[in-house]
Amino acid sequence: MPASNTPRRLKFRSLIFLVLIFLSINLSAFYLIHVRYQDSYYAAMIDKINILESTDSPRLIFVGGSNVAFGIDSKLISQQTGYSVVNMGLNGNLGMRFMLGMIEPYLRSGDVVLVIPEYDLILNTNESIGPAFIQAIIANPNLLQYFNSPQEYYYFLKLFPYVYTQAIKTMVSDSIEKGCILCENEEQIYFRSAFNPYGDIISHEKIHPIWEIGHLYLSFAQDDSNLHTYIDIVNQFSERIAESGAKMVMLYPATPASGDQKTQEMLSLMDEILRAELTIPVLGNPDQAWYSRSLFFDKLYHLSVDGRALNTQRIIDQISEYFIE
Amino acid sequence: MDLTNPLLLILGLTVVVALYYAFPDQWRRYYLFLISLVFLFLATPQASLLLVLLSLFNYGMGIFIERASKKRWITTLSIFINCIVFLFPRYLNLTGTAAVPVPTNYLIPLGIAFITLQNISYLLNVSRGILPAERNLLNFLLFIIFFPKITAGPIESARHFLPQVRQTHPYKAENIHQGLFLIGSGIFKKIVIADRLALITDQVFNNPGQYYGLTVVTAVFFYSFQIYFDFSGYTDIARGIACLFGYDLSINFNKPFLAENINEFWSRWHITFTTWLRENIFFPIRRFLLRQSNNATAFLALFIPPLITMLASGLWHGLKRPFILWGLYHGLLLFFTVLLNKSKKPQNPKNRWGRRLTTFGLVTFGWFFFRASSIPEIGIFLQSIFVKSTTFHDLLLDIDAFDLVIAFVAIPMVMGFEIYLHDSQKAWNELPAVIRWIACLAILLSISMLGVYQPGNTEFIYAGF
Repeated sequence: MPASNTPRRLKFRSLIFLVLIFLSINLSAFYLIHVRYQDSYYAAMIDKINILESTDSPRLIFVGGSNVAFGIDSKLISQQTGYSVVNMGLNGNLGMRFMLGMIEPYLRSGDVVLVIPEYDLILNTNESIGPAFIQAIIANPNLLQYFNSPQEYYYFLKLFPYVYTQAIKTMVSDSIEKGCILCENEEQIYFRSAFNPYGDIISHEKIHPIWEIGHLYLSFAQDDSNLHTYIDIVNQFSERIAESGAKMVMLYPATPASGDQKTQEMLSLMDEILRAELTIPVLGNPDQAWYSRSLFFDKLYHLSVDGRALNTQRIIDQISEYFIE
Repeated sequence: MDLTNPLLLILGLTVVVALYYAFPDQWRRYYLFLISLVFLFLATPQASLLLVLLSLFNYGMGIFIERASKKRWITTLSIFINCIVFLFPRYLNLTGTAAVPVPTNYLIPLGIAFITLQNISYLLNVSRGILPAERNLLNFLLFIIFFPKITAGPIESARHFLPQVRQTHPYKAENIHQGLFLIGSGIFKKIVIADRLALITDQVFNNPGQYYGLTVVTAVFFYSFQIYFDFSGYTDIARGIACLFGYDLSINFNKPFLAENINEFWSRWHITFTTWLRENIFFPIRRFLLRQSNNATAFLALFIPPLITMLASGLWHGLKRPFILWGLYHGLLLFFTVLLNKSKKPQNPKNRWGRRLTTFGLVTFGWFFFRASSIPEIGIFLQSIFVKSTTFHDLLLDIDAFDLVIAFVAIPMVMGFEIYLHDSQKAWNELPAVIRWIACLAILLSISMLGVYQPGNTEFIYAGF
């Protein structure tokens, strides 16, 4: 080996060494966060996929954010319709693309996918994708396999640093304040085992509703491009699953009745556009899903036990009409 | 390409730079132009066309001015048109005179404030015969829209940049090392320090009248550091990216907080901008006044040029009254500095730190004008300093101790490192490799583990101009 090559080799080795230290420190931190997240609300997606995989067809598969987790009594729906029911609802910030991508490999002939999107999923910019999307992936990195568009990779890269550094911060704070790196999950409602075998959240059933719910207030952004992104995602998905013999319908989420004139106009305009441009049936309309604010638990889309009973009946009525037709 | 997200930045740059060097040398300019165009259109799709048209106009006017006999009139007209394009959308937004509310990005191209200054200085230099008009359209367009500098400068002079465009840019490992180091340090300044300080300053400045006394004073001092680390961080990233392509962008900051008076501060802060102001506003006005040789104009030559220059600086930042006040404040400070320097004996070197702290205090006070969104808001902030006093603890109530500790450790470390690097670049290169590697590792780990990545809150302060 010529002598002149030695510094270069040394430099190269130093670089490799630096990269290895950098990666090992970050991977160790990532692993610790992954372990911490095993009891988290977002880790429940692992269980929901297992439920989906092991439930016999034909099934009613409910897809949406936390409005679905809080809003349906799957057992009752199953009894009334004769279908097996799987509740895949977890958090709206997972984004519609990813929620649908997760169920796609498990669909079989005769299944019906019922999408109940929060209005944010239809109207917000960035497809309403937020930290929950990354938190679910950190809890279960296998979820990466369900990505089927460049947008999901983009959002992953965009949001990962935020969630990762926040998790490190919490871990450091916990280790200083509580003296533990892998502290137990102290959440009262939002944790992994908060769900029943269908995927409905039940941890709130014995807790008194937490606060007064705000009004529903919606607005389109500068244009209606977000709405059209949602329409494209749903239409493309329904086209893909039609080959496997599965069907898809859309329903509206339960919200407190809105007294805001603009919001009401917005919702009827949105409903009109969805009915005209979606290739799947839209069951009911937004005001049929309006309930008294006292029927909500802690947030806008989170129904209490009483609210869930009413909403479940509404859904049963709407899907029964659809099946009769 | 998101300049504040390291993952997207690294991924984007790896692809773009690898392709750049995969092209034969003579094609690289075309490729860089194409990438810059894509960057521009992705950032402000509608307004970008306007920018391209404006660039074509300036290209043509440059050649026309060079050939014309009445250069002054044509130059004035061209500059006027550039100013209209720059000011008109801002005026609409300010007065609300647009028939329908116009979203900013529909009318304002990315980096228009910086590009306008580049265009004006180019036209003036051609008119004065300092620079020949650029005949190659591609070279000229690349000078205007070169993507690393388009968001917020540095404001490049054609004299510095155009010769680089004409050169070939062979691959050099040295450029890659230097570029990566600059990008790393820039992201560190922005994500680890500036955005962390923003958590504190935003809380105070977005809620005028809710914080008092020491809390407001602390917030404005933090803002002083925030704006420095934000803007110098951006400049480092821009210079680093340019370096990856073999281009050298101008330095914008030179340890501004070590300035011993306001005059010196402005020769160390946003250097490319202040150089532009000096060459194109300050000196021409001063020369004009000095030519009218009488006592009155001699005094006015001390007073008027700094005032008008800094007023222009304020207006360039935005057509808002607080910016105008900020400009006037600095104009007056410059005037008093010149007066003091004229009357006083040579300064005592022992008082150096006293002068530095005074200058830093005066500059920091000025940020009240810069940061506030209206004149009444400035009044509220100034009142809240004196009217009622609360403790620093009030501010800490909402701030994570983790963020505060990191900010307090990182600020002196980085500033010390910058002073050391600037004074002895050679000494840094001669340091044992282990120490340099450890420094690099510390920067990378800090970025990846201690950064503040607030979704939707990662804009550079100067990208808003």
